[in-house]
Amino acid sequence: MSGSSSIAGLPSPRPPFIRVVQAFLWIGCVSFGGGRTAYFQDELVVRRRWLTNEEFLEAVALAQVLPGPTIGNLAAHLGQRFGGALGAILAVSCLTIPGGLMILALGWLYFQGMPTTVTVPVGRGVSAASVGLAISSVLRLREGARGVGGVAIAGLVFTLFGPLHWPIHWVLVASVPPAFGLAWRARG
Amino acid sequence: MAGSRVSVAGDLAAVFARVSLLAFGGGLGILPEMERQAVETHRWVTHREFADAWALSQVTPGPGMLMVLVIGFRAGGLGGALVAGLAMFGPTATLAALVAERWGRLGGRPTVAVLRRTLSPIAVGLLAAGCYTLVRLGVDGLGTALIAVGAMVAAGWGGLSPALVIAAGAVLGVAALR
Repeated sequence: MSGSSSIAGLPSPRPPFIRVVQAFLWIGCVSFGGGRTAYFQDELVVRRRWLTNEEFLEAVALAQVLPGPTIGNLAAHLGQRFGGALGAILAVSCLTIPGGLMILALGWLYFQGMPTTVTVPVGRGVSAASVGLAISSVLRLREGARGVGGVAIAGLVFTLFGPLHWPIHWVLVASVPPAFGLAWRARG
Repeated sequence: MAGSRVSVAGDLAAVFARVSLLAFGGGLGILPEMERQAVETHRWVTHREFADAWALSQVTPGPGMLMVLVIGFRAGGLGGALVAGLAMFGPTATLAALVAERWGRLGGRPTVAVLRRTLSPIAVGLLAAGCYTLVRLGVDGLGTALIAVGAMVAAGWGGLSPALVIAAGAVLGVAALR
């Protein structure tokens, strides 16, 4: 896959603004269901090749560690990377405006008394499909956890943040030191 | 009347900016605090309306936290929706972009390469934990489990685009899960 093809330290070339708008508007229009980072990975890494898997994982980690809705942060981070402050503003706007208009329209209908009999089964089908989508995306990114040590750290983070519901700062306290130690030893 | 509208806008801005800045590790964790503020403290919506606003965010694209637009709309019309959305996404996106700028300027120094390699396995773990939450929210029986596995195979090995996978899920949901 594309992970090893990047030359460490060289910034990727910046795509033109119109392409940035196109990409994020597309994600903003189609990213239904949970696990929405999968859409970013598919569009920006697999299809447009603006980022390597490794660069994408780094952006995801920062987006999740910082406060705020994760994919809003992810759009701001990647938009900044592709086009500076204007890129960040465009990316976040394109990500949120299509869904924002749709949810406002549905919200208006809802407060007019729209029955929820249609939206409930659609929502259940979408939620279930997004589970599979999210898992396939993580499988594609699994090279981010290399070797026994990397897998162990990913497993630790998964267990603490998933089943055990630890707050993110304690998850980081437990996982950053061993992950740093591993990266330090591998610096070669 | 104009005064109360301004004060509603101020409350919306304060509440949603605050919960957004408290949302470490993603939006799901702050739902309980958001519900407490929107339902009990400010009475913008009922418990039922709050749950339905979340359900609406699952059938519309974009961030799930766009549900605050519905709450803002109920509390203060279109202006309220705009204020709620800007408060939820504005401050934290600005922070994320500032951090990205700094991070990019660090460039390819050897110590930064170590930091990058530190973050990678942690990010994989965080994303996997997200899958765990999604399974708990979205898989509740054989029908939903089959849709999930089908979606995983279609996206992972079939190369189907995410949008088509989700559209198929929606159709199957209507056909089989009613």
